[in-house]
Amino acid sequence: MSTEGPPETRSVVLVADDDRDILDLLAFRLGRAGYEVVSASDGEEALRLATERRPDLAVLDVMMPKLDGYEVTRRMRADEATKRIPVILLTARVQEHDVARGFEVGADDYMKKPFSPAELRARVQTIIGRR
Amino acid sequence: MLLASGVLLVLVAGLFLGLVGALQDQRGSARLAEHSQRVLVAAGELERLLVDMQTSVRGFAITGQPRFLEPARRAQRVVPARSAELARLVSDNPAQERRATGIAAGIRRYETGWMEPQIARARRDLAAARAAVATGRGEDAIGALRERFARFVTAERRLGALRSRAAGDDATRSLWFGVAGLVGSALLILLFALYLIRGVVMPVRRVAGAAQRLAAGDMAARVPDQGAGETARLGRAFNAMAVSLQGAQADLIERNADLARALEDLSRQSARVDTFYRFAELLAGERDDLDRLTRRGLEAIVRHAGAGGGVLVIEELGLAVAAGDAPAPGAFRLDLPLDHLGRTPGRLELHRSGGSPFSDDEREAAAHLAGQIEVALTDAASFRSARRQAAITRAVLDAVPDVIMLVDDEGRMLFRNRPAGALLRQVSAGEEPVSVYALVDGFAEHTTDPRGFAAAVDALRRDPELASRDEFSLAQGGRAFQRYAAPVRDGDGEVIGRIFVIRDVTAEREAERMKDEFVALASHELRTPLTSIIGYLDVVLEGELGELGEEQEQFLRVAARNADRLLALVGDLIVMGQSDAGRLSIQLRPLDVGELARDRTAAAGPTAQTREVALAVDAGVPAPILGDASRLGQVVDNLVSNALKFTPAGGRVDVRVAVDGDQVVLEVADTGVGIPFAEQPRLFERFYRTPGAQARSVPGTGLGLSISKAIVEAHGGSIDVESGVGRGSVFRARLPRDVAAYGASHERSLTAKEA
Repeated sequence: MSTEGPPETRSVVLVADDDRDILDLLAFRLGRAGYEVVSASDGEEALRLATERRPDLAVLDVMMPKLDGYEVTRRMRADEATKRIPVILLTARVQEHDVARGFEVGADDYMKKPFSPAELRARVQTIIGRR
Repeated sequence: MLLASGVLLVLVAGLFLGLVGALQDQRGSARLAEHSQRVLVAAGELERLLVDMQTSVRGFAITGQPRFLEPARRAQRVVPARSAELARLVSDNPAQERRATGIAAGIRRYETGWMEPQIARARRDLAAARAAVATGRGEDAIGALRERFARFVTAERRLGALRSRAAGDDATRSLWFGVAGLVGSALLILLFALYLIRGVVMPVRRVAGAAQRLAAGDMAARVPDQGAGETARLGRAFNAMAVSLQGAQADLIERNADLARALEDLSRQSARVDTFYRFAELLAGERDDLDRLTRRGLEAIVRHAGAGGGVLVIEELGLAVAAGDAPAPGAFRLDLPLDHLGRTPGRLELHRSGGSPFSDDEREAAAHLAGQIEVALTDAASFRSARRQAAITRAVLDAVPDVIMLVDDEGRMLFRNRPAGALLRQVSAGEEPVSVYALVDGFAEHTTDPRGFAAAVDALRRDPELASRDEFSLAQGGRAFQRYAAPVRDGDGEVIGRIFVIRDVTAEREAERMKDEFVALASHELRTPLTSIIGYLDVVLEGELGELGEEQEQFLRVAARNADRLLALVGDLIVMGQSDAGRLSIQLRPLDVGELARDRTAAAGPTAQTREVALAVDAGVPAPILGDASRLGQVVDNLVSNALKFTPAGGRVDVRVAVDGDQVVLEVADTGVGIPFAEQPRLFERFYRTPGAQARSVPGTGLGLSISKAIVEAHGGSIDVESGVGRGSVFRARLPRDVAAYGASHERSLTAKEA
């Protein structure tokens, strides 16, 4: 699979993580994959950007200050403007109930940290391609 | 006497006959007198009728009214009958009879000669009739008739007087006969009484006197019994009785003597038993001091045996005691070996100066008392040791921080240690309850799950055989307790109660919670930087930022490889932490173990090549199960990586997947150095590394096998090893295929999640 192949109009991916390094890494990877990346460094910002920019996909870290990933997902689902935006939760925690809770609040997929570049591309592409 | 009585009797009878005759005569005279009265009455009646007739006729003749005639007609109708009756009454007396007949004839003449013509005249001519009345003829006729009546009555009265006098004479005669009869009877009674006194009363009185003498103790008392008759027979019967009584008394005296002797024996024995009993009491009172017990016991024996002194030696207990004086030369001695329960643990010596030698009785009593001392000593020793043992047990149980209670069916306390007492006082506000079950309802309210708590205790109360272990927490303060309950049996297997052990596990639960938190924290805080390290290294190594020099790339790969190792280690530690807490979660999805084995083995291919070890997979058959692919992949990785590490170059590693009944068997076999048998049991312990591995500096954390075991067991399977030094090793994991086992393991996973 080609890393390029940008669509005619580039899909917008919202990425949120309070760890700057990881945020940058995600933005770099997704940018290289041909997406337009919107970055947020906490939950509130992520929620605001989701409403403003209406991204095609949101990749949200679970452990974030102010609003965590679950809460952002829940509020997005509650808002008509953002309720159809797919969400991939990113978690460093491995416990089963974290995953279960993610699906409960309405996430579409989850990824464990650390993630491989291939896994990231595959999951993002799967969801965006589905639309 | 009898003759006199007979004569008198005849006399009295004659007198009574006379009396009866006189009475009879008197009755006859009286009846005649009464008869005269009746005659006079009848005559008076007839005379009255006559006067009625005359008065009536005269009235009619003067007035001419018929109603005046009525009495005359009535009198006319009855006169004939009355006249006839009067004549009949005096028929026994011819003179009177003649007069009565004359009266009747006179009345008839008056009727026909005067009365009827006068009546007829009055009817015809009242004046003539009145004139006839005035002539007084009628009056004269009546006067003549009444003359006759007067004569008749005078004669009858005279007759009546005569008869009354006769009756009075008869009465006097009766009185005389009666008085004579009474006097005769009195005489007769007197005579009879005299006879009774002489013939009956005297003999009976004699017998009574003799009986009194008998009663007073004179056994020789007898009465004369000659002759015939009732009194003689009474005398003979009395004498026979007296003889028999005399014999019985002699018998009684003899038996009394026997009884007295027996009583004496008995009181002697009783005194002895009393002595023994007092002795036992004395010993029981001295249970705490064995020396004192022995000494006082010996003193009592010396006293009882009347000895001057003595020595008691109990070799078994190291006791030797003397009492009283030392033996004088020539004193009598008593030497007794003491034989308690068939052993001979000691001896008793008694001595006595003067008097008599010790008797068998004394010997026996002394032996008995000394035996009691031995028994008391043995008892006291075992009592002391039992008490000490009980005190130790009690102290140990009191020192345990857990609450320990033993209760019976009703919940009554059979035993409790000190913490249990403190808890009960706390729960029941000061006073310890009769039954612990009575507290349950109140106590349940304070737990986080009142209903569950009450139900658990109720189940225990209903089933005395039930053993259980569970936990509860207090709503306030959050303290957690583990409760263990089980039936307690004595040596014979009889249930004697139920033990409750309640342990405060708050600290343990807190530690577990902290461990969980640490796992979560570590997993986040360690993985986040590692994610960056690995992610950025990947970017650089992929050449996204331009071509790398050979050495640059080589060094960066070292960094990347070690970052991966660190990540794996973090993962292992987290899995370990989870499985320790029973919270290892697995996600069951259908998967094929053969496929999994092929994938993971292929991934290890480069490492095998580097080590020059042949790596092959034999997984031809489908081996579907429900399992967690990533966790099971970790197992394959661990086993293959271990095999490669311990197999020298030129060796081989075979991964095999097969189906064995309801199990899928995953085998990883190597031709490596093998594991000494002694080390095999510890292989699956956490952080355990074989001495061989350490000696050869084979890298590893000692977590791989332990984690593999935890994962396989979370799937309901098992893992084992077959190995020998120089023979290589085979690790074999068995995973269940049957649905029930999946169910079980899946349920476990859910339970773990909920917890």
